[in-house]
Amino acid sequence: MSTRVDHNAIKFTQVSLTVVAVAAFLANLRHLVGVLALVLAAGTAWPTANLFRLLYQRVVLPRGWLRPHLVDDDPAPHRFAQGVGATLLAAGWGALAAGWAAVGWALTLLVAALAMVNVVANFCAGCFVYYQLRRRGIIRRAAEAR
Amino acid sequence: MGADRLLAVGLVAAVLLAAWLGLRWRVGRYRRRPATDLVRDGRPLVLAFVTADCVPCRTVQKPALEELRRRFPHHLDVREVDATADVALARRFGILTVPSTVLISSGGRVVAINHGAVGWERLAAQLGLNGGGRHARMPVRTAR
Repeated sequence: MSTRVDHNAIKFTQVSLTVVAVAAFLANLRHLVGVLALVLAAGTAWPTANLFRLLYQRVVLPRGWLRPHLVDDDPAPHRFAQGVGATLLAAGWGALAAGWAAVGWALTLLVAALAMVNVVANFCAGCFVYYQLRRRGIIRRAAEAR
Repeated sequence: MGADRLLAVGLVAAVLLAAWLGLRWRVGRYRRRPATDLVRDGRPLVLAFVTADCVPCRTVQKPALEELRRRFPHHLDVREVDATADVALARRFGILTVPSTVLISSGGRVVAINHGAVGWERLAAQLGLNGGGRHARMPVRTAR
């Protein structure tokens, strides 16, 4: 389903996610990873409840710090990517809570790194995974099964 | 900083470095293959691998290709290829993701393989086309 998607809002979310994840890492705030996972998960389930998007709409846009960049697009892949990020962060939080700090922080930093690679280098990790799954017939098989 | 967090940084850095080196090695391997059969009218060729459901293909790569076509209408041939429909061609150049671009010189040499969206300036620079912005006079180099 094609609609108007604000790509600057997506980039703002990715940069904010990276900033919070790196801050949590540097300050050793393990629970902040959990909060970040919950924020992303809530934003995936209910896009209007996306905290970063609300910040973008109510603070960033009115002050003119960024302008909307509206593109005809399908919001579903973006939500899927956000869901994957939330899942990895939740796994990282779980690992941190279980005492596997190295694994937990590695997962957290990996999410942040992939978000920044997308923003800076235009390399979409979600597109890579999606293409590879489709090339191997996994996605098509899932669709046919339905 | 604790040992666990240093280990985490090391792990992520190692994963990213391994991915980058692996990609460079793979691109280098596929660049050695000639592609003279694809060149038409003696013009350099840009093969853009996309899929119908790829968002950056439409929002980033397509406008870049259109700009490239607009700036160099007679100097090069730009073709979009559905990577899921023409699997053989995608496999021939080791395409790993979409969008990807393969740049082929007029002599049929693979000049660059870019995984991920690339702007028109960089594509023009990789093909050594004048007027490609600030990168236009840069030598042709190995892409990601």
